[in-house]
Amino acid sequence: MSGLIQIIGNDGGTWLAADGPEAGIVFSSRVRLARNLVSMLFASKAAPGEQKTVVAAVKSGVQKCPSLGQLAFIDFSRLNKREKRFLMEGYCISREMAAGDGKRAVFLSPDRELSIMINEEDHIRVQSILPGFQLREAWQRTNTVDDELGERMDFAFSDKWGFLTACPTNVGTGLRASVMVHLPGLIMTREIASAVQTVSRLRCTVRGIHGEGTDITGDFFQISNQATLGQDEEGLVGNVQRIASELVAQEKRARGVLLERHKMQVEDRVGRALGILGRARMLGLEETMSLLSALRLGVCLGLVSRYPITLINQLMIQVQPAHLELSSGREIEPGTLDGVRADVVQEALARR
Amino acid sequence: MLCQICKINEATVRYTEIINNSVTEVHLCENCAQFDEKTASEDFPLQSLFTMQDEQAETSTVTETEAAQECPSCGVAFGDIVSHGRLGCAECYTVFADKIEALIEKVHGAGQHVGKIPSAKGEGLRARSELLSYRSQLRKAIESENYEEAARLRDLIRGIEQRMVEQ
Repeated sequence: MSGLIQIIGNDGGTWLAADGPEAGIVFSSRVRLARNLVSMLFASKAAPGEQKTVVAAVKSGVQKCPSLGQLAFIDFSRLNKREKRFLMEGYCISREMAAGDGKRAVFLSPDRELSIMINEEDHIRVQSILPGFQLREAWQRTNTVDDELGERMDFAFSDKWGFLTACPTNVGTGLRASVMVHLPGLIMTREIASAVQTVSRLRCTVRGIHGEGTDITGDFFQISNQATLGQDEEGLVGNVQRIASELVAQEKRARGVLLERHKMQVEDRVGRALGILGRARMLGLEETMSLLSALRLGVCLGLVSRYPITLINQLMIQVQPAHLELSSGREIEPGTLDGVRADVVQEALARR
Repeated sequence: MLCQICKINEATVRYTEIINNSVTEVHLCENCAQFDEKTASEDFPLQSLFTMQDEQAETSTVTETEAAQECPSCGVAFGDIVSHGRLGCAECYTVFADKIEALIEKVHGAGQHVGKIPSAKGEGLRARSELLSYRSQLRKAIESENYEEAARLRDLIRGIEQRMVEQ
């Protein structure tokens, strides 16, 4: 069994077992803060020896924090590529953290809602993630952890530029707030472009993510702040909150339109998704994500009552490649991954 | 459709980025997507901003002398910073202040931090801003002949000044 699984278990983290506010449209809310220690080179420029020092310093700092006793420490030199990908698929670490090399580590809470990355692009990246629309809550948690760490460590900071980060695009608050939303309604009514353009302001970005196997696909979008300097943290979080709320409202309206005027088409799409997910012997990642997206819509519109949304949310992560490979507990023959995926999907759907 | 970065492989990853009303579609192959900062991290890549700085000019805005300038603390050259999109250490912010200032203004639309200050460092900064606030309150108290309040504020001010001296 993978060493990582031994530390953190196999369930994808309990944070996805709950659904959170606006669960039908909002998949997750996340806030991260970037910090660096004074007098140490930033992670990408530091030699391995210095990177190790940073890991040790942060580790010791975290272990002194009374409220962070539950966090598991994961040394990246012990992880293989698949295990790092596993963490990234579950949103515990960023893609940059999984892809990069150098001396890295992460502290992870049992429910996976809190992670403290060490030597990502910056020395420290504190991240809170929560299901549904809970952006302010995620901010409060991250902020509290940052306060605790700040009392025990010296962060690089200037009066003018705020918290100093490796990339000037993060300088100031070092804060990135993001909300992941599911917008199949706006896509099916072909209003997505105008909806997004209407809400794109306040120096925030709305990213639609497609592509083969690289990330969540299937009608998902991520809203995050682009600017990190010039406003205080609450203001920045508020901007993302506002824009996400508007998109949620738009999506609700679009879904209403779908039910009123295009019910047959929606039912057809959902029905086909159920059919393929339930019967196919091989399921590719991109197709699966698209089908799960349709199923998710069906559940939220009340067309499908058998499956709770949390099941689908969790499936979206469980069908990712590293999750399939590590959960099965054995080596998967190349070329059979799609078959394993079909089994996993059908097992999850049959359990209901 | 070919990958926009390597122009060799077929683009299998595409995403739409909409920032402040301008829409861009980006097409990448699986390989380049792994290393492209937009898909690799959620952060906005720095390199494109240096070129964005001067859209009218046909040549890069960074001269050779500028690119060669090094940070005494970490040894990183400004040219490296532009090509990798990252600074080497906190000192770089001071060393390359003028060049970075314009860039920061462009990305954030601002040039002054107004958010939280670190708990540890807070001491000095907080003390200074407290002093400013108390002093102005003291002036107002004296003007309105509220001498009890003035005395209270005066004692607070003395306490902070004393602590600052001791540090």
